[in-house]
Amino acid sequence: MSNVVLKGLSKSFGEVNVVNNIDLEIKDHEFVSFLGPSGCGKTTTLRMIAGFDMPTEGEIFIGDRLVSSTRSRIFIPPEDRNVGMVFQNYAVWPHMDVFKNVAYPLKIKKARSPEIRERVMKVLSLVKLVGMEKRYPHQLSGGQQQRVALARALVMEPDVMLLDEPLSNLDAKLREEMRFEIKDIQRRIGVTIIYVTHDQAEAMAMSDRILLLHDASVQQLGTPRELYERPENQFVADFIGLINFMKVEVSGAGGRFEARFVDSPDASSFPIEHFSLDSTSGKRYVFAVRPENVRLVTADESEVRGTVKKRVYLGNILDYRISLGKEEIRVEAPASTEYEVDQIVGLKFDSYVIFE
Amino acid sequence: MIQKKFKVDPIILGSAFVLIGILVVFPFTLLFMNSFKSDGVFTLQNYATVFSASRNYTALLNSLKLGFLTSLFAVLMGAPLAWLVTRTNLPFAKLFKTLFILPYMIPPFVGAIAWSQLLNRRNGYVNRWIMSLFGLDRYVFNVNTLSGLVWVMALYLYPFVFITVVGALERMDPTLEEAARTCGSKTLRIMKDITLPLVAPSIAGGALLVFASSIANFGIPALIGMQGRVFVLTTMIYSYMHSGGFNGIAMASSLSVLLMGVSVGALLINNLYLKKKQYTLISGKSMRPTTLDLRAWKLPCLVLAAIVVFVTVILPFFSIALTSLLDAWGADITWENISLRNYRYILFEYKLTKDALKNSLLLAISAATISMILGSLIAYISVKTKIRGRKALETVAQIPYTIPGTVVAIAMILAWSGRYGINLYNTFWILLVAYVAHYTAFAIRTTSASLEQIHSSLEEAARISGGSWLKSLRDIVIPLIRPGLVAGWFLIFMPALRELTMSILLWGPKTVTIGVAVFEMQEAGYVQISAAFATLLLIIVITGNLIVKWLTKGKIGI
Repeated sequence: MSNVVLKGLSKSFGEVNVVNNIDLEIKDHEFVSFLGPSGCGKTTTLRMIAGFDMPTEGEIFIGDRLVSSTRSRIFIPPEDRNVGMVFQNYAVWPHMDVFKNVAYPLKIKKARSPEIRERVMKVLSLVKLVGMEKRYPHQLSGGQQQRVALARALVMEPDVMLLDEPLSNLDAKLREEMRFEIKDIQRRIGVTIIYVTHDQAEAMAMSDRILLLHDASVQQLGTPRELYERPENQFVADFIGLINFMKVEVSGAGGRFEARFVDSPDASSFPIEHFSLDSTSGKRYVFAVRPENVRLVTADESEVRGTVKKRVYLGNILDYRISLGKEEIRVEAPASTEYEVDQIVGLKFDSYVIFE
Repeated sequence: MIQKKFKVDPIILGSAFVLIGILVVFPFTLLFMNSFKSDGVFTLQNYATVFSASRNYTALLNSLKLGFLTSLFAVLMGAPLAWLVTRTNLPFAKLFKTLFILPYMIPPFVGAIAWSQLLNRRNGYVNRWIMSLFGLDRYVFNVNTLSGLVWVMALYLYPFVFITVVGALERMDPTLEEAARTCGSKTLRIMKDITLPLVAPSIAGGALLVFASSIANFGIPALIGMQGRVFVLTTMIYSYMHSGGFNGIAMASSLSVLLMGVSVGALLINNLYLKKKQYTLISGKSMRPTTLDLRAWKLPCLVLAAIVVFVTVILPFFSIALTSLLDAWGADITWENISLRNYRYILFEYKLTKDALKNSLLLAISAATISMILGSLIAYISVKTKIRGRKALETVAQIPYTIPGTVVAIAMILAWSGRYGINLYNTFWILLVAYVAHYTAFAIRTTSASLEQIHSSLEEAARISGGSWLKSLRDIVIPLIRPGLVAGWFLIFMPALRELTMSILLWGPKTVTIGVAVFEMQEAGYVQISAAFATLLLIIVITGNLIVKWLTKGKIGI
């Protein structure tokens, strides 16, 4: 078990930058997800850590060992990195049964057969595959094949486990089940995990920290809560969860500021907090608020007013669309609220972020 | 509601069943029954007679030896070359990939002619060159032996193994090998533990295909083996038919059933056993597999690849082209001896070759057209309808392709030479019937592949919009599969143009084909004239292939 450090890691194919100058320190026992839309560079970064892709720039440390460095011209091949990897399409060998698949890394290391047997059976019980040793991959379901892949990576007691979208080929229910199992296994054996996914719910549910990537660059690194509550830019705010973006004009000085929606001149201005700039009169910003952070009140309780345009009952919540002049804002209110369509309501913003 | 309109679909679809009955079921049942009949009684007498003659026994043994050794040689050649072009950083790998497939484009009897020119005992080019180089007074190579046969056959058929193994290696999911690397395995160990076991079923499949093809081949053992008195089943059947008489036909039919048994057996093993073991190796993501850096081996491998191309392609081409320019075969190669006279002769003066060109062209065009119509009908029935017996129809229609051409020809002779009311013997029609029976399987395969890609909802939408079945076929289905149909047509036209195996048993005085003409001229000793004709054929075949590749954007082509 070890930490992983990336220093100024970059990769380009010809003119195209796939990964741009990533710095990252992953602690021992930590579960870090690389999250982002397809083509953001997350898989390439993972493959550089595994040793399948050679960085164009930068250094990679696994534990205290420098495994890849363009400066010192070091590149340790994948087979000598002691890294476990689980692939999206499982990559379970079809010509070997479950036992042989899982035993393979130990056979390479020339372990003695009683030891192999013992260690294989131990990980098989960890991934709940005991009794399946003699089955061939084509006799297993997708979920079971993924467990074999997991076991094969675990059995070698790797310094770090790399998981490349391991759940994306499974159906929704199984995916959720496997999320908890992977997390549970990690807690029990305390292995460092780097997990690549494009599914934000998956990343939120499992990770200690998330590295959000877009256009080859790091957008934000933080805990799931930090990414959700304090997104550092519009991309992060938009990628994680639902959010309303509205253009505002901020005026005021000396700690007291007021905002006005630019595209909805009818709505009056409202005070904003946690905002600090010297002089902002007339400057435009983007006001970002999540649907659940807008509180609906009666029209006379707030300076900001809007008209209910749509109301959808979703069981636990009511999903409102409130029109503020030209713009519409999405609000998730408790199911007990009872505002009718066409009614004028007041809006209170409990928590929001302002981007330049 | 009462259906008033006259329905056409049952008639059109039903005709496919009738035609397959006439073309396939009737002749082959007859052949099979006939081999058990002697003087009108059901008996095993014919088989007893066949095995009482030691030359028949030897022919069977030779066929098996030829098949086995050819597959072995083809695997030893095809599999490593496939690995070299797909998994290493061999320079010009893409070019080599095309060149290694090229030998399959050379018609087998043309290859046989080339190699008998090169390794002929008396005046083969290679023999003469080596003799003069080392001052020997005796030949070194004799092509007219079983090993000569294996050599020529393997050079022609090794692309089967090469193509299947290249396919398996390219389709193989690279993560299967990457997973082994993260487990700590080195490149050579991965090859042994992962790559080789995964492609082994493909190698075996290719080898069985080579086995079946080499025992079914007639041109090579006829032109190379018969001169050295090395007979295999196909040439033995030919010589029985040639000697004629009722006894000859009886022996030929029994040997045919035997030949059919051996080759169908090989293909059954492939379909029943190996197809199941060919793992689905297709990956979701298309990533380049990791290639091995050859380092110091780069140059030797490059030289080896170049030698293979030289021996399998350049040498035979060169030999045939050179011979075609010679005034007399065996004469010294000097400028005085070289001219285009042979070409003028075959194109404008010699009636046999002119007739052959005309007949083959006509036969190939009609066979391709009829086979495509019949084949796509059967493919349509099998893929798109729920008619009972559709799978049986498809399977039966494929039989004549898995059966050696020699056997098909014998079955046609038994069925259509007047004993059952229709006499097509010695006419154009018996050739056409045999070609159609043999090549319809080709049409079925290419068309069902394209039909399977058309979702049935497209046709259903046309019907819902008010179009009849025929209209939806004409307006929706046929336009969508047109590229497949055109490519399929060429894939029948080209082998039909150079067909020899069936034609040699079915041709008559007025129906000589290109294959027969080349064969007869070669046998008669007009080596330089047959070489000119063969060169012409090669040019046509290569042009045709380029057309198909262009039509299908490189997807289909031999």
